[in-house]
Amino acid sequence: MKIIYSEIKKLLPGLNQPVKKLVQDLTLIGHFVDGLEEEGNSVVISLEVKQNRADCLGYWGVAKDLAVLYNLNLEEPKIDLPNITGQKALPIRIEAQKQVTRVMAVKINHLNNQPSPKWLKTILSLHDINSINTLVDLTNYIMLLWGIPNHAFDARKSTDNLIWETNQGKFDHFASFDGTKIALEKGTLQISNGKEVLSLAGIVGGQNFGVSLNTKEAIVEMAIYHPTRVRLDSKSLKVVTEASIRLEKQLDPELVPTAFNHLISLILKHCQGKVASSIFNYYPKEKKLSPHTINFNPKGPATIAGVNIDEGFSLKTLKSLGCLVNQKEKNSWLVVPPSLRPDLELEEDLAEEVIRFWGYQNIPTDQPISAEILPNITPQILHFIEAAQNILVNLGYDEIRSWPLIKKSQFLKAHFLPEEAKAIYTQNNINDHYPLMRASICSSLKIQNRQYQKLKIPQRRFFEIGKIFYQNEEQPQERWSLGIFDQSAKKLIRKMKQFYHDLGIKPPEKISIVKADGGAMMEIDLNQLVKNLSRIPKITITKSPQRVDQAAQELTGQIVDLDANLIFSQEKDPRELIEEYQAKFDPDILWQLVVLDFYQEEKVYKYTLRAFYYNCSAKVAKKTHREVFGNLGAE
Amino acid sequence: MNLEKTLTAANKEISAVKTASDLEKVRIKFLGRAGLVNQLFKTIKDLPPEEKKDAGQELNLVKNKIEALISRQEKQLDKPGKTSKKPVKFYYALPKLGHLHPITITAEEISTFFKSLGFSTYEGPEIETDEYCFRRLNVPTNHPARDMQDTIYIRKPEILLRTQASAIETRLLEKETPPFKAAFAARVYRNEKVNKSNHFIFHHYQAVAVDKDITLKDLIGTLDALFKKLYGDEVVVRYRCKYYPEVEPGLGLDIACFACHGQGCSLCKGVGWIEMGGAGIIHPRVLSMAGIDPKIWHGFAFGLGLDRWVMAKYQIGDIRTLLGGNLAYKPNQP
Repeated sequence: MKIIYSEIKKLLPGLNQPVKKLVQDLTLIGHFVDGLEEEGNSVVISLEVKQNRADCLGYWGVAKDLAVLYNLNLEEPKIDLPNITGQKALPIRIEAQKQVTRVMAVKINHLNNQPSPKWLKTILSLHDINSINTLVDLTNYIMLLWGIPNHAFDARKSTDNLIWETNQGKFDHFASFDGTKIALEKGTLQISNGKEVLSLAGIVGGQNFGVSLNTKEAIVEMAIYHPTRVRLDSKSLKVVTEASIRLEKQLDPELVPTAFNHLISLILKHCQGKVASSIFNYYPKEKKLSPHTINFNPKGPATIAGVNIDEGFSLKTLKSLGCLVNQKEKNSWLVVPPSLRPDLELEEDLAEEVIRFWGYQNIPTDQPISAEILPNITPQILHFIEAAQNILVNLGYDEIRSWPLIKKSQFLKAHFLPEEAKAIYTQNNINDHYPLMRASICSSLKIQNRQYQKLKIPQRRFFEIGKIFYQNEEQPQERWSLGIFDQSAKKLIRKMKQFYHDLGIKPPEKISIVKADGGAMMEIDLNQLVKNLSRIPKITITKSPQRVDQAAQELTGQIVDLDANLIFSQEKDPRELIEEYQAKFDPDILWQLVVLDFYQEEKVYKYTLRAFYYNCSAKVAKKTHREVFGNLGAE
Repeated sequence: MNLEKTLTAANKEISAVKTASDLEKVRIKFLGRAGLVNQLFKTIKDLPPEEKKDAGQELNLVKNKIEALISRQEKQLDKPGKTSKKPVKFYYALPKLGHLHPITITAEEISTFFKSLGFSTYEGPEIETDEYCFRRLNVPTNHPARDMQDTIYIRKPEILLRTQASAIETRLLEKETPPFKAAFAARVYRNEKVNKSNHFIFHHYQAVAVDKDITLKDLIGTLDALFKKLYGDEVVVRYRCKYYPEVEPGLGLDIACFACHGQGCSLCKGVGWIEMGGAGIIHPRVLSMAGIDPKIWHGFAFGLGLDRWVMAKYQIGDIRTLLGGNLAYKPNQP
């Protein structure tokens, strides 16, 4: 929702806050400002309107909040409507009575529709709405101002016989005003004349019945529907409009007469014309909002906020919002919220209103929740996972996290799952190459290993702890699983024996491993393993880099490895040799340095060092290599 | 134990021998029953328990290398007339360190803070039902608030992949008896196309506390302390009114942009603030649906998105890197 500063000021003549302050305050009271633009002399503020504040999808609702915040008078636009009596009634029928809350409509003849005046074009343009002609533009202007969508039909094309109905299958397609063809579904709410669909109610008008510069007779209607109907139609027909965004929320039917009269008065003023019918007003008793009363303790906001909010402030705020407030007994008031605010249902809703105007920024920030120790409700499996991952890190393995959704070709089933376990498919994942939930962590390990191979990462040794998924008798199941990959099968077995040992469990007699491309992997059912533990050991990470954030790297390409032959007259300690040369490199491109080979001839000691470069081009790697090793650097 | 010295000494002596009998002497010296290596093995029992494992592994490695050097030297001695020696296979790398994933590390940093305040941790299913993921969070079917989250379904409309960590909250509220406090990280799913900036799998961190006298002040004080712990005392946090169906009142949390300190820049899209998450006092209907009497018990809940936070901290530019992508760890970053 956008608001133009100068336009909202027309409703709040006393508003004199600088734009910056206004923007901050709007955000704090719940209308998050996500954009601020200056276009010509106009300042346009973009608001993210809360899902439950449909009233703020129009200037009127936002202005009401600002009036409360700044204690300003709210001025209703002047509405000059001639007395409309004695005209003939329109033959409108409301057949979809369950779906229609309120409809007002009137016919206007002798129109002189023209291109819009500049002021109107400017306002719409700042709202990213194209100007069509004065009459159509006024319907949009009224929607922006009051938040209630409305529509005008060319009566010579539509006829006067408007019917609000749900599609019973009689109509199968519809062309919207811009020519888009929409296939209709049974149950869609529509306005027809019995022969053709004139508009999709609450969503979009039809191509052949809209108002043009030639229109001399128009039927203007403003309606409110059951929000769910509009939402379902909008979703199923895949049409989202400014109208549907508003009408799928709960709008105020009591506001319709004011907005409708304002629209008619503006049409008569700017397009001339004469009212040619009585005002059709469908608003049956059972649709009228029955005012609901909320018991309110004016101390409630203070109790919820945990700060001292004056009772008088609470009551004054609610009154300013348009609530009827009457004292029932001490500390108990009866509050009737205004029809504009259907979101106010409970005492807590009223408390939120009070607190947001009192200001979240006024709540102390230095008093966190008490550190009182309450019973530990942590599930054992989480303690166990923490211990397991720390042991694996101490054993030199890296943790990976991967996608639990996989391709069909990547599907594997963990060896410990029941034979009858079946795969779980997603129904609507838009990433349709990944329709399956993994049933083995090994699927993920294989994918990661392939990726690491592509990147030419040396010393691939990693693990993942995560959920695997399957279904048994149609019921989805999930289990915690641990998967470990190592380039050396022997090392994997040895390290896993150590893993069991560190957990305080006797390792299984045979540790089963699975061969993987360039290595081996294994998988363990953690839900089962945790049952074998009488107590979970407290394991801390003992070997860890000082700056983990510098160890974890986002690789942008393959690692480049280059060798260098170094000759010394004395034998070297390999660790010292690596450390000596490592210090000569820019750490931002050196991944690792290893001694690859050693060769001795008489008193000559030759060492081959291999340097692994990352996130740099081969050219940069070679240049660096030459700089560090001189002519000894062999490519 | 100085294993490298032992290995260097062995290498030197093995390389110097000219005859098979000398080589056998050297083998006995190092690898015999009473040899240096076995003597070193015997000293392991005296080491502190936490060092035994590593010492054993490293000593085995040295033993293997000495065996390889002897074997190679044997082959050299079998070839008369050659004085030079062929290269010895001698691979050496600094010991590889293991690493936790940045998301795990970040979640643990937050958890450490919450543990200090007496919070437990918790978990719940990733395949959830509409009941626990939406309805019990005060989001009825066809409510516009559902548009805030695109859902991946397993069996529409009832079985789905959880879209928010609040689904764990509903399980927690139902299962545990108040008072309680719990904080947890969780993987969540949304039906979004994967690209550099969006993913259909990401991570939330959620905290929940239910007690008799929980207030907004407790919530704001806790959040402020958390952000100070993570970002330092200078961090500026903004609390603003925001709608979430499961809380009332609801709060949006922003911190002043690290890069421009609130002045507006490309990182914060010109607004000066970075949105961190949402919070609020648990809606009385949510408590009631879980069987907790909202007249007696009150609670707060908040949720933070972890992924963008981690990306900023670890200078990761592509969200896909975080999950099974190009994230790797330098094996021996000091």
